[in-house]
Amino acid sequence: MLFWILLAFVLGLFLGYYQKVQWLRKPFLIPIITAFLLFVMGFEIGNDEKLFQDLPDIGLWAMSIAFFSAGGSFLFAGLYGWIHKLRRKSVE
Amino acid sequence: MIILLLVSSVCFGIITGHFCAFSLPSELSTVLLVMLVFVVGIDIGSGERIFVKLRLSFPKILWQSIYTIAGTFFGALICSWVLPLSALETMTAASGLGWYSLSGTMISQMHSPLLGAVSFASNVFREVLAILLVPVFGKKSPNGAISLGGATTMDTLLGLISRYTNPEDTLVAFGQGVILSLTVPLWISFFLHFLIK
Repeated sequence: MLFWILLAFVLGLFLGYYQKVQWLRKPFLIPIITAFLLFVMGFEIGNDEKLFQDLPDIGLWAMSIAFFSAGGSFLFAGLYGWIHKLRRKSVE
Repeated sequence: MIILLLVSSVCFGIITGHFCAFSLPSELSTVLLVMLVFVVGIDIGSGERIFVKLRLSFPKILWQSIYTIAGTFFGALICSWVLPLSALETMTAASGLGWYSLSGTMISQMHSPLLGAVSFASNVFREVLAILLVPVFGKKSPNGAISLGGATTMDTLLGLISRYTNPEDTLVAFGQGVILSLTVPLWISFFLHFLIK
């Protein structure tokens, strides 16, 4: 899957660079495909009966882990971005 | 407006999936992902001097990925203090870095279905959290916003990130998604190795 995703991205990048498929550059296209993708993700969660029933029990643990891990990465990467910006400004 | 559409899509998907007896073809999400990255690729490629920027962005992509991984495990470590789970368990659950389908399945099969389910759900929540927060922090702290999505910044969140940040940050997001996706199986195996011991 990773291979096809990478291939599609590189192909899109090149076609976009050489201005070959400008008719595909529609502002609504990306949100619509994303919405379909998220619908499929939700469908897979809802379709798994055991997971659906266990969600309230494991929800708190999962939410805590998600909150802390996303928070940790936001803090680290955010600090990195901030320092990077300061360095760039001092060079300029 | 867009965020409402995306959150509604997830909710509608859960409700539909719960009440429908059939299941969607497993290739559907892959096809949609390929379509999405193709269209986003066109969008980025059409930008001015994009390849010069990509080359210049590589160190940034690498550091962004390192800080995202380090921050994720640091957060999971802190989380183990407030949950009745060991640090290894919380870090294993977080090692999916947003790739919920792989982490949930791998952990369920190699360790326990409970931790697998926790990992699956925590990575789903992480993605939902990223969907909600990328529009809020996309302009103020693009690096922080990109890191929220973890490995999903090369697929599901790429469209959202491209909308709320600039083309250079979208490239960093895609690069982070690729690097993190490549390392997810390694991180899960690494933590499970110690957990099973």
